[in-house]
Amino acid sequence: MLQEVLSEKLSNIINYKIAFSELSEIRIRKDKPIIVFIKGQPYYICEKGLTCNINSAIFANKEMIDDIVYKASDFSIYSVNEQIKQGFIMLENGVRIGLCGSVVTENNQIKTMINWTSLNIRIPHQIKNMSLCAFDDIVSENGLKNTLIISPPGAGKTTFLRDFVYQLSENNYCLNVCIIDERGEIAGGDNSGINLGNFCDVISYCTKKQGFNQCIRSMNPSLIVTDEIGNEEDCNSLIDAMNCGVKVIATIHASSIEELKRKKFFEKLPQYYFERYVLLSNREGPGTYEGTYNEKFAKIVKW
Amino acid sequence: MTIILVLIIIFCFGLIGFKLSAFYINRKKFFSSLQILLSNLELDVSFSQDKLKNLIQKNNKNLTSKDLNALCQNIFNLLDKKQMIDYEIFNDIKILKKEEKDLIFSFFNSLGRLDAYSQSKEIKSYQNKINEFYNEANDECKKYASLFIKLGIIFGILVCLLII
Repeated sequence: MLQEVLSEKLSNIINYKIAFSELSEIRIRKDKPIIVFIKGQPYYICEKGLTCNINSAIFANKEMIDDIVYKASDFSIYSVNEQIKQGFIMLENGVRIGLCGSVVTENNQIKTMINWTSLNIRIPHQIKNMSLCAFDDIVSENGLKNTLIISPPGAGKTTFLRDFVYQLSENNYCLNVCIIDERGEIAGGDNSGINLGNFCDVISYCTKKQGFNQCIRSMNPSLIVTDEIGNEEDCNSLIDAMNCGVKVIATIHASSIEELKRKKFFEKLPQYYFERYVLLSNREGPGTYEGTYNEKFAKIVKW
Repeated sequence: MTIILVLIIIFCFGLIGFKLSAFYINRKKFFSSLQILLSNLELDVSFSQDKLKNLIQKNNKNLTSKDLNALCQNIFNLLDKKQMIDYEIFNDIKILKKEEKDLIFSFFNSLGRLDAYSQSKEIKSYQNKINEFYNEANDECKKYASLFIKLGIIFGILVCLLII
């Protein structure tokens, strides 16, 4: 699917000259060299594959960006305008294209985005056993613990969630898991090939509030998993779910526990609602496990 | 025997006349169907907001013009292969003039590039131009379609008179 969206030249380079499985991000900026991220490291793309030399790098232009967006929308920008308003387009296989350009507003509401100048193509990966480092901290004999996965952007939060859900099923925890997938990133759509185990239901492309309500009412979940809580409304949805006896695992952007505590909406969360905090970083590449913390933010020491 | 021969000759010339008039009838049909297609697309873009490929496929089933059917099929095939629309979409269509092809190409090429509201407005603006083409094709059809059939029959009769 990604290859269909890119120009033939770019697609051939990515297909045959770069290890696609290791590719995590493609950055395309108007009149700038195209950059790919492999194992967290940036490289330019040239005719022969990867390069660190800007002189041989392939540059993107406006036409290339327009074509990618147009093809990504399946030649129907109007059909993905709700996603464009939020700054991204999701492809069928879970690839997310982040957009930058001129935002058109009307009555203080975003109407659409035009004149795209930058694209950030993020390729999802399933890294098996990635969550095992913290699995036993979150899952115990007494059941699951409400958990918040903390990491800066691009450090593997979503990949961790994906693997955690898969590991639950793989380790015979027969719990009904419901994923509220606001941007289709966790489950990656119908054709993503991402395996989330046998006990997983997915509600995609709705707000957290809508998703939580719908899922609690109709799916009888034991665990709700969601990505990137970012405001008070998200927190309230989480609290409502926890008060219904449903366990919640969510992610949040922060690079440390201190940074997390400084978030305004987080301050308003009642204490001890989250029983575990898992911190990830980019220190040794995306998904570096920095530790698990308990409800009092004390690091859990492993022997 | 002579009567049968006369009838055959008149029929053949009438058929030639009909074939020539079909060009104008098909042009009229094409633009009339295109008007319907544009109205349907405008509605679909505003309400169902389905993908362009699906909208073209869905609406193509209800079109009466074979030429527009072929055009829509060519467009669908390109979109299905994730290729940009080009002038190859007119490969099987012989009834259009260059300026008409240019406008139709520019219309289909512009489809799907805007949000629903702007797209709907743009389709409306194209509808006016297509209406002009339809009126022109309709006038030509009125003028020439029956004329060619009549001329065919008259030529047939003349040939019969000359032979007999």
